[in-house]
Amino acid sequence: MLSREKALVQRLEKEPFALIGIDTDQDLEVFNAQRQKSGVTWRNVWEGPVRPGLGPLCRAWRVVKFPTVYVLDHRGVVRFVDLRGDDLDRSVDALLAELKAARANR
Amino acid sequence: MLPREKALVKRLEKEPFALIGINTDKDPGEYKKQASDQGVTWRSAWDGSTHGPLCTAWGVSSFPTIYVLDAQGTIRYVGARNEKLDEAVEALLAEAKSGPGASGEKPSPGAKPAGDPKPSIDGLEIPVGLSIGRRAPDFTTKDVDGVEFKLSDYRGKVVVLDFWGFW
Repeated sequence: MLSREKALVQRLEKEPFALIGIDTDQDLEVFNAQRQKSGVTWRNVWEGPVRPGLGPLCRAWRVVKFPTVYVLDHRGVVRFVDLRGDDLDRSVDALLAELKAARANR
Repeated sequence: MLPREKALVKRLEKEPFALIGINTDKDPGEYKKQASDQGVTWRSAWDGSTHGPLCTAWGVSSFPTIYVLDAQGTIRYVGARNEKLDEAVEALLAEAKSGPGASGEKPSPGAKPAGDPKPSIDGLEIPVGLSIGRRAPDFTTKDVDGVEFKLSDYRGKVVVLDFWGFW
């Protein structure tokens, strides 16, 4: 998952795209050390020293299993849930194409 | 609970349905004896305690906790009991027979679920996960570098929001 995400972020660095991580590790220092070691360059939010699933964002987004991945379109609408690998890449590419088409039609 | 589960398993024995138990008894021998005595015929995994690896991974802290998964492996309901559990399973079986995953293939990006992606069942605990097509709930928070931001700052971009961890 991590290597795919890194490739996605790198491939789309000039595109209107963002990957945001919601981190559910209970120890922020451990997460930050791992994050740097693993080359995680994208923005991350830490859910606090609580068990995975009990943080405010997990509750608001009804997340109870991990990882859970939501893909949002440029209007902020949830369009895909829990895609992985090639499917995740394809979903993002499809939404980027949709965004470009919407801009072209303005 | 047990008679209802037995009835459900029996009624749906020819359907694409499975009930899987995650048993938290401390003694697997005692559990097997009890299961045999009480006619538990479905597959069960033994987790060793209420803090076993499966309970921990699934964030289970009260018992029984029941997850209902759809044919694509997505958690759709939590906490359904008795007739509500029956209703949840029936709704997802109907969806599996008519939806985009009916042939066993994964829905492609852009594919829209057939019908309501989250069957609404009156009185049942709110389904897990946010519905496809729903506006994402905004949040304001600080990232791990201490920078405050809002999800809506990203409006105009495609966003992957990943709930994860190194654990």
